[in-house]
Amino acid sequence: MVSTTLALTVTTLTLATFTLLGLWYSRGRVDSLEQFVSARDSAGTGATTATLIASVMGAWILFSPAEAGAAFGGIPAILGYAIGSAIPLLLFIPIGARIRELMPAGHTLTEYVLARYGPWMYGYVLVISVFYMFIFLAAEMTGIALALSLVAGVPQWQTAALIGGFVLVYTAYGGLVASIFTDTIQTLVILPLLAVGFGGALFALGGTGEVHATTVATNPDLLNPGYLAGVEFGIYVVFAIIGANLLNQGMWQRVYASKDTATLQRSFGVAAIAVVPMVLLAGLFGVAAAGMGLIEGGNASIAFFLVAGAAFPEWVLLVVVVLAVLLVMSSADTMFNAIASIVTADLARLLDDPSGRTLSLSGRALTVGVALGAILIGAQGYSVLELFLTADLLAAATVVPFLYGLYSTRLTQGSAVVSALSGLVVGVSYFPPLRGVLAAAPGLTDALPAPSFLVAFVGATVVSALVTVVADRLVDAEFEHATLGAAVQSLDDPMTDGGREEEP
Amino acid sequence: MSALGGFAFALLVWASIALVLLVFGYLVYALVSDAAV
Repeated sequence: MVSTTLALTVTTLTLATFTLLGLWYSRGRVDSLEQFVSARDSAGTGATTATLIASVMGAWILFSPAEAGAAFGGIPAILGYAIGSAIPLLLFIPIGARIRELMPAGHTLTEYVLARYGPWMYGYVLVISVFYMFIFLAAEMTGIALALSLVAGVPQWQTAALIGGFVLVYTAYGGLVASIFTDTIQTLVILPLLAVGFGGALFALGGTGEVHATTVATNPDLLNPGYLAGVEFGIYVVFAIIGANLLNQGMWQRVYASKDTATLQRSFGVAAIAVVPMVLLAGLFGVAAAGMGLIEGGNASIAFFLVAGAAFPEWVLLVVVVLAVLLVMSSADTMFNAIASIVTADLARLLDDPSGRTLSLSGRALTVGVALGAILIGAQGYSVLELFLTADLLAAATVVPFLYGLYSTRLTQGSAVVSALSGLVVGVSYFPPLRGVLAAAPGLTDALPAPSFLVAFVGATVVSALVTVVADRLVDAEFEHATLGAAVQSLDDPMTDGGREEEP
Repeated sequence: MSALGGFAFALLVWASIALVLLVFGYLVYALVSDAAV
């Protein structure tokens, strides 16, 4: 156990360093709301790749993959997690290029939905996207608060307040520009820390041979690539992750922040390659923990920290604290700015000719609101897993009709909504966390199928996709994709602070 | 069979670590290249 004071000091120093870096870099670079929410065409291959890795790989990689490895099915479960994390990034290679082609001046995914489909689909996607991103953020804050509580006994409210407060300062000031810059530096620290940390842990535990032999002796199923429970988890987690990430505004912002389409495609490709070994390594901590007999009484979600605690001396645990803080900072700043941007861009359209000052203040006020909400929830130590899965299910049922309109001229708003709801009905019918709610309805208990995460996620995605394709064939409509670009409103009025003041 | 499994496990671990470091090297190269433009 690390001393609480030492852990708080290291955490504060890490947070302060990156906050100062974010403030320093964005000073004079954020001269309009356009820059604050889109940082359009500004990031080269290195920065785009780094910010994608940092945004996708949050503190969750210290919890969920290890839990999957220890409790949900070992190697095949981890492989599913790793592949599922890479697929959305790969899908953004063609989809991102298409978005930039159709809406070169766009900012948010909701702008696209409103222009392509209309208000009903827009409202539906807005709720799902913001719900998912906020749950992601709350889970990150909860995760880091739990991690510091485990490693150093830091009260959860102190961790949540510190991290939320510092990240808020540079995100509210420098927006996406600050987020991308700090993400870049954070990724340069996270990657070697993770590689050397895992290598060091293995060395301390006697090497790969020793870990493998121990696991074979105690829990051989975890090493079997064909282990059915693991394969099942590995499949449904792929569907859960894909939908959620394609509805993540943070990803859409980075599509526009890339310098050009070639940069976007290269960066998303490299980021997809990077996340696979990161998730695998984190997940293997879970296998090692289970093999060593460290998992007991439902503590699989902290498998990473159990192995780190067994393998490392106190001072190395402090490095683990830094790693965890960097992981959560890099994802939290992305989510703060993503949620604020989605609402700010909509305000520009909804308000009657708002001034640049009104919009910029709104953007920053929203960032503060999102941060306060995340701190509040993170400090409570709630279990957000079921909410996370619910958000993933909503996204899985929506993603195909949502994106199909990028390519189809025939899919209408009605067809898209019906497709998404069809997928949702199937998904909800099989979704285990909602079984209690559904079973309470009179006459429904006997009609419900056996609950299954696999059928829920795969069913939601496949059924919504099938209905989308059928509706596309049946309905006679013709949408002009060329009109999408004109539907975007510029946010280019100068900001009154945070950017360089022009000399008269 | 166990020896083969042990080899596959070691390969998975060390290949993952190598890939993470490779991506780190690429990132440094890309950032330096971007800065030089």
